[in-house]
Amino acid sequence: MRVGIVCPYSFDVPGGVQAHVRDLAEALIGLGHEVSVLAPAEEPADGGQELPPYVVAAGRAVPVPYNGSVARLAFGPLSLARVRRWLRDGRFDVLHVHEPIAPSLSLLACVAATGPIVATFHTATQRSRTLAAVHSALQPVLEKITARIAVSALARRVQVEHLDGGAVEIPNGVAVGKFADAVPLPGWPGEGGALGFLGRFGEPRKGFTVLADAFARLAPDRPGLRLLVAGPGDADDALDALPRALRPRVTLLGMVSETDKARMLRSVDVYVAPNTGGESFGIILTEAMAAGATIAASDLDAFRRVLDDGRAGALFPTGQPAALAHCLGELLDDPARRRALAAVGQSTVAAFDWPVVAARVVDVYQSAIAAYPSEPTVTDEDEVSTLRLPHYLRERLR
Amino acid sequence: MDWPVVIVVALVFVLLYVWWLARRIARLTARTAAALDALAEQLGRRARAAAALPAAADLATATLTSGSPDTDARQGAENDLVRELRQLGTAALDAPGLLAENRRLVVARQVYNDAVRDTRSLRSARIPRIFWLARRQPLPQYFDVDELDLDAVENDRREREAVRRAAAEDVGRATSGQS
Repeated sequence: MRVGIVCPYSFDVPGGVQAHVRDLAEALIGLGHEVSVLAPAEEPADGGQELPPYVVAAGRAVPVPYNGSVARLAFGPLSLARVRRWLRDGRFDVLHVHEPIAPSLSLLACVAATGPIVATFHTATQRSRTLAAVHSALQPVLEKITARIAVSALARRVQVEHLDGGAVEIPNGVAVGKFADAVPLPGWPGEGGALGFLGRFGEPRKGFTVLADAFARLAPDRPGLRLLVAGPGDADDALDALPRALRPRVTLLGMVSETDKARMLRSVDVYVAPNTGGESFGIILTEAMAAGATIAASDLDAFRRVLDDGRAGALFPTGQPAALAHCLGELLDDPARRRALAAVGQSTVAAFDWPVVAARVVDVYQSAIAAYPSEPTVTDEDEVSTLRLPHYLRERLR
Repeated sequence: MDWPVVIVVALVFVLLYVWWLARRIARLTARTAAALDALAEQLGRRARAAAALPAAADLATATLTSGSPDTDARQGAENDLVRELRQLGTAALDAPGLLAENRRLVVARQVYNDAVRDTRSLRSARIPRIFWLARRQPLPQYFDVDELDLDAVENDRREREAVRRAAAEDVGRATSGQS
C-alpha cells in the first residue's frame, strides 16, 4: 500500500507527534508498505538537519504558541503548493494526516486532497469554546476525513464532545526492542538509588519543580541518592529549583538522542513522571515500561490508564511533592516491589509495540479505502471547490 | 444605478454556493453508500468467523440473511449475536480470526457512522433544506449495535500468558534446584 503521512510539526525539533509519525512510518515500512512523510523542515542543503529518507521537507516552519507549548507550523499559499505537488507525485492509496484541527500542513492536505483520508487526533485539550468555533468553520474540510483515530481515550472524548464525531482508539506505539536492549550509562544506577526525569523541565506542566521539591525532601536522609535529568532547556532553570547543596547530585544530560533516551531510562531505579496536566497519553511511560524501569507517576487520567490503574507503576496525587517523596521513599526501600511493578509494566507494554499498533492502523487504512466510492487513489483535485465548476459543467454537457 | 447588475451578481453567488452544497451532499451520500457496503462485508466476515464457534453458529448464519446493516431486522440479529458471543466469555472470543474480525468491525462501523453523521448534519442544515437538495433519498440510518469489550479479551489473554510464564519459571526453578 502507498501511504502518504502529513506531520504538522517540524522534524527539526523533537516532540510527541513527530516521534509518533516517525515510528509509525518506520513500522509501516517494516510491514512492507511504501511510505512518504510530508513535514515542515528545512532542506539539509539550506541548513536543516539530515532527515530520514522517507521524509519530504515542506519548508521552514514558524513558531506558534499552541496548547501551552510552542508548535512550529507551516501554513500559507507556498505550503499549499508544496502539498499539492507532493500529493500529485505520491499517488497514494491513502492519506494519513495528524492533528488536522490546528492551522497546519495537515489542514492544507485535507483541503487539497480528494480520496480516502485518515486523521489521527493527539490533543486532549479542554478548551471547548475554541474547538467548537473552529469546528463549524472547518466542517467542509473535516467532512472529507473518511476515518478518524484518537491516540487516547481522552483525545477520543474531545472528538465526541467538541467535534461531534467518534474515533477509533488506537494507542501510541513504542519500539519495545530499542528500549529493552539498551545498555545503562556508565556508573548508573549505582548503589545509593537513582531517580530519572525526562522532558522540558522549564515547562510548568511537566512538573519538574514537584520532583525537585520531593528530591530535596528525600536527599538529606539518603546520602547516595542521585537525580538524572534529560531534556531540552536552560540548565540554570533546573538547578534553581534545588537547594545549592544538592546540585552536585543532579546530572543534566541536556537534549538526548533516541539511543541515549533508552540508555537513560535503563540507568535509573525509579522513573518519575510528575506532570501536572495537559497529557493525553503519556508515551514516555510506555517507553519507561519497555526499558524495564519502575515508574512513579502523577495520577492523571491518562497516566492511570497507561499504568493499568497502578498495577504497572506507582501513582501519587498530582502536584503534591510530599506525596511523591513518600511514594519514592517506599519504592527505593523495596527492590522486590520495584521488580514486580517493572515486570507487570513489561508485559503491559507488549500491546503498545509498534508492529502491533501499526497493523491496527493498517486496518483503518483498509476500512477507509473500502469506504471510498469509485477510484480510491488520493489526488490533489478538489471536485468540490468552486473553481472546478467550468470543468464540471463541461463534463456534464459532453 | 445598476441594480440589475447587482442582482445578477448576487444570484450567481447564491447559485455557486448552492451548487457547492449540492456537490458536498452528493459526495457524502456516495461515501455513506460505500461505507455501508464495506460494513456489510465486514459483518459477513465476522459472522463467518463466529460460525466456527458451535454455540454461536445459528445466530451468526441468521445475521447474514436478515438484510442490510441499516435495517432494524439486521441490527437486531447482530445484537443477538453479540449477546451470545459475550456469554461465551473472553477465552472463547480469543479465537485467532474472530478477534481480528471484531477489531476490523469496530473500524468499519465507526467509518460508516461518521459518514452518516456528516451526511445527516449537512442535509438537515437550513440552506440545503430550503433548496430541497437531496430530497429524493431518505436520510441514512446509524448502525447502532452493542459492542464487545475487545481490550478485555486481550488483557485476559495477557494475564493467562503471564500466569503460564510464571508457572513455567517455577517449574524451571524447581528442576534446576533438584539437579
